[in-house]
Amino acid sequence: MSVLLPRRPAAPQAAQIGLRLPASPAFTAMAHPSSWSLVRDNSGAWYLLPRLVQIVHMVGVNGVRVSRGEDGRPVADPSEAIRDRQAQGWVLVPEVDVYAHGQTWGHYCLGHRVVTGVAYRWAWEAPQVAHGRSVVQVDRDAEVAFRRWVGSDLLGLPECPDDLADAHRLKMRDSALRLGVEAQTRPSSARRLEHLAAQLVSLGWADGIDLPAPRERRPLGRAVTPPPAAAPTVDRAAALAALGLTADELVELVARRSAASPVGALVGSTLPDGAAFPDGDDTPAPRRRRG
Amino acid sequence: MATTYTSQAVTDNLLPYSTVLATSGFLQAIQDELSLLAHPAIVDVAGLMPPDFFVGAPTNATFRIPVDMATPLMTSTTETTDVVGPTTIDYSTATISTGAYDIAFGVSDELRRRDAVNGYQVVRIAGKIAQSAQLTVTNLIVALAGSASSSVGTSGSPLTWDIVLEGRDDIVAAGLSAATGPFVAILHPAQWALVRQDLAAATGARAERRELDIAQMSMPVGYQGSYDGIDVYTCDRVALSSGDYTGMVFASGAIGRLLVPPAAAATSEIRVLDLSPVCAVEEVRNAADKSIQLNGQMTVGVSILRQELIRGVVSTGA
Repeated sequence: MSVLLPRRPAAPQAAQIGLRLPASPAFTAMAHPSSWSLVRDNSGAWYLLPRLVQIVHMVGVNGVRVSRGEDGRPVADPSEAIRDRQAQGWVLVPEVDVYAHGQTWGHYCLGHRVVTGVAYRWAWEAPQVAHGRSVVQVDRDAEVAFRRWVGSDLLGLPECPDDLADAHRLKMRDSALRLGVEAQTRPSSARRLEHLAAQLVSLGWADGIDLPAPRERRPLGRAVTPPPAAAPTVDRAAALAALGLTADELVELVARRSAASPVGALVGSTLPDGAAFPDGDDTPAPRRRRG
Repeated sequence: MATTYTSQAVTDNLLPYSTVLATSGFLQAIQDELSLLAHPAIVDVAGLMPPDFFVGAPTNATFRIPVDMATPLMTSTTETTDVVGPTTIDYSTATISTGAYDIAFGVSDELRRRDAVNGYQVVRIAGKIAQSAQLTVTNLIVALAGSASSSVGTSGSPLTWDIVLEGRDDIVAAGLSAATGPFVAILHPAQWALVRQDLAAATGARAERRELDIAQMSMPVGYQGSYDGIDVYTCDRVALSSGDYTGMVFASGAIGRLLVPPAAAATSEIRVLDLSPVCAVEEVRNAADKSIQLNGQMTVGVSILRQELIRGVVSTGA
């Protein structure tokens, strides 16, 4: 079996000199008909596409061994590891052109020279030095297109099989239900629920999820009675001025059991229609709690 | 005659120690269960093999390790019926390859003479090499995460502790009798930071647990504590791929490591540290150059022995 090894990295671009990213080994990608995961494109839409695992070319990892390269120097040889995976049903992703970041690359794994060596990345990842920092721009449309191609052309599965999609859907639904309860008190759960809701809606598995508003936390130790409903507020001074009354005259009017009058309504009287104040002020004094 | 230090013999599956540096702190660290290298969840493959396993095997070799010997149930019989026939013993295997790793430090005599803080003394450099061996094995273990067949978490989404638990429960839910603890999670520090925020907002009975206090402590990269039966480690070598970190959570027995012990010290060799089977440190004198060089060597391989016992943990770091 011939093993495809990633090409050597291209000469570094001027803008890439000084990339301060950790060096990382080259890798071979493999896919399995029953291993799917969610991925989003640049617009934020989510797709369920084949998951790609990486067989890293690091000696001593997962059966990767040392062999002699063309120039006689030792190189990591993943052929044994790949054979093992193939025996378990994994499919080797061949070396194909990948269109990402506006140009076509000859391999899905590209090397970039960094300060500590070479960092191998997916073709849709573009390490750059921007504003003095090393950042990695990800062309998610390219990743979606590549994984879609892996599904349709390599695995012969243009869509995720129904049973696997259902398993994903049920798992996400269960998570959403649980997070919906937790989100009221845990910010991290609320944040995760937002992501989950976006995924479910994007995949067409939910029309929409009402994200709960954070609940006010009750002070611990003592039950708190809810505050009474606020009475309708009235600008009394303005009302009195409009009516040409003083405050004392208003009190007198109320005492005349004129609750149904506009004046009574203006002062916010809670006296229901038909009710009557008794003569004199016999408003019961508030009861004081003992102890 | 050159001075030769060799290790003392100890019982199987224990890391031998040097007579010279037995009391040094790094030796304790390398044998500590809190060190990923010696964590009990990671199978020491050499312990599964016959005693003469390494005889005749090259340093860079590939071994097939029997990992799952299925044990069938007995067949119901009666007095008048016999067992149909002998049951075939069947087992699956995993591949593990070993590779040689080396490191060398050179120190001039002048540097050692002017070394006021003993930073360049042989013992210290040997300790640094032992630490390097430890980090190398950790790096190899972390590199396994990207090849886990299944994962939990979602690309572009933050990590919460529930997702780690989901990975653990996913392993257990498969119904394997081998899916037992101790479980281990290896996360990037950025992932762990998100988990800490999540744990800090815990409510109810969970909030009262002492473990969560430990979670909020500032710990160096490495062991971070044990939560819900999962020993958590952080490592900044956890791969960042397509904007997502891929950590992992696994059950005991998911990962195996194979350390091939170095050859016995030669008579002419100055072996200043022998941590067989992990690593050995040899001192080489260059009189013409007026310097010494300390060479550390290790032969190691790690592999996922059982894919059903490991899950990748995918999330963003912010």
